[in-house]
Amino acid sequence: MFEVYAFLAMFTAQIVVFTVLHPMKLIGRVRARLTRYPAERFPQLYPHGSEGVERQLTVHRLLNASIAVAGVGLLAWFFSYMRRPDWDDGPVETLVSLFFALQLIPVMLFMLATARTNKVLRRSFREETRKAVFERRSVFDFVSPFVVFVTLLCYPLFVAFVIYLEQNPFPGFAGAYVNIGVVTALYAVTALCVYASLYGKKVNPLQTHADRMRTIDVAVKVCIYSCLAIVAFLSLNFSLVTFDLQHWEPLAHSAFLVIFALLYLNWLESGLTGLPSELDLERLRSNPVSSAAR
Amino acid sequence: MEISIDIDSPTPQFEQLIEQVKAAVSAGMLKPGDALPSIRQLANDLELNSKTVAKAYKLLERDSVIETKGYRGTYVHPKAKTNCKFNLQEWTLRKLEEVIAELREAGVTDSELRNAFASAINRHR
Repeated sequence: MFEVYAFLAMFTAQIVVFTVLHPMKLIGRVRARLTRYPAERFPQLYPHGSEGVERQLTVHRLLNASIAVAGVGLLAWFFSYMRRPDWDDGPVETLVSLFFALQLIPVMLFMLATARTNKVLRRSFREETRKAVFERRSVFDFVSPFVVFVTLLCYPLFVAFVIYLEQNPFPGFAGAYVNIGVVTALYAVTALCVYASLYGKKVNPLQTHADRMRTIDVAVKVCIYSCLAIVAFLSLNFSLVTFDLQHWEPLAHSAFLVIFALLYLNWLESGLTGLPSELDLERLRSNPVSSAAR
Repeated sequence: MEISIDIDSPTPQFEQLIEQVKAAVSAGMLKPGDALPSIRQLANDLELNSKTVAKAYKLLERDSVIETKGYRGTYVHPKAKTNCKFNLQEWTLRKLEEVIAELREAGVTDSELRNAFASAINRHR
C-alpha cells in the first residue's frame, strides 16, 4: 500500500509543480517585466498593448485553474480506485500521461502567443547595422564532456538492455526494435534541439548577448538532461516489470513527470519562451514605435 | 570581439566581414589558433545569408588568414598576422601593370590586349 500513497503524493506534486507553481512563476515573470519596462515608456515592446498581456495572463490563469480542479478530481478518483486489489490492471498510468498532456496545453498556448509577439518585434526592430560577438559556441562550453559521454554511452547500454529483454519479453513489451526506434528518435530530436539552441537565430531581437548565453546554457542542459532522464525512466520502467514490481510503475511515471516539470521550469526561467530577463535598452530606445509594432 | 555589418553600406557584406577579421588579426584581438564561429552560427547571429559568410571564409582561407581543420572547425592561421598585410588584389594589379607595360612597349594595342586577356582567362577556366 506504501507505493499507492507515494504515488498519490507524487501526483499531487505533479499538479502543484506544473499547474500551480509554474503558472505563478510565469505570471510573476511577465509582471516583473511589465514593472521593469512599463508599457507607457516602452510601447514598442508590447505590440498588443498592456491589455493584451493582461488578457493573455488571465486566460493562462483560468486554464491552469481548470486543469488544477480536474487534477484534484482525478486525484480523488485515484484515491478510491487504488483501494481495489486489481488497480494495477486499470488505466492509472494512461490517465497520468493524459493529464500531463492536458497540463502542457496552457504552456503551449503561451509559447505560441510569445512566438507571435516576437515575430512582430523582429519585424519592427530591423536595423541597418547588425552586430554579433565573434566567438565560437560549442556544446562543451555549456555541458561537460563527461555528461555528453554518459549521454552517448546510455544509448548502446539501452540497446543492449532491450535486446536482452527481447529474449524473455513481458506482456506489454513493444519489442526491441520499437524501443530502439523510439530512443533513436529521442537522440535525434535532442541533437536537433541542441544544434538549434547553439546556432539558431535569436528569438527576441532585444535580448542582450549575456542573456542569450544564459538562455543557450539552460536550453542545452535541459535538452541533454531530459534525454538522460527519459532513457533512465524507460529502463527503470522495464526493470520494474522484469522484477515484478508493477505496483511501483505509476509512482515512477509521476516522479518522472515531476522531474521533467522541474527541468522545464528551469528552461522557462532562462527565457526560452522568448521572455528575456535583460533587454538591449540602447536598441530599444533608439527604435521609435513603428507601425508594425502597433 | 564584436563584428558589425552595415547592410546599407556600398561595400559588400562579405568584404566588410573580411576587413573586420583582418583588422582584428592585425590588432592582435584574434591570435593564431583561435577558433572562429561556424558559418551557420555567424550567419544566424548577423542575420546574413550563410553563403555570404561562406564566401568571406573562403576568401580569408585563400589569403591564409584562417584555416579549416575538417570537422574541428575553422581557426586563425599560424601566420595570419603576416598574411593579413598581403593584399592579393593589389599584387594582381601590380603584376598586370608590369605585363601591360611590357606589351605596350612591343606595340600591342588596347583592343588586342583586351581580346588576349579574355581568351587567356577562358583558356584557364
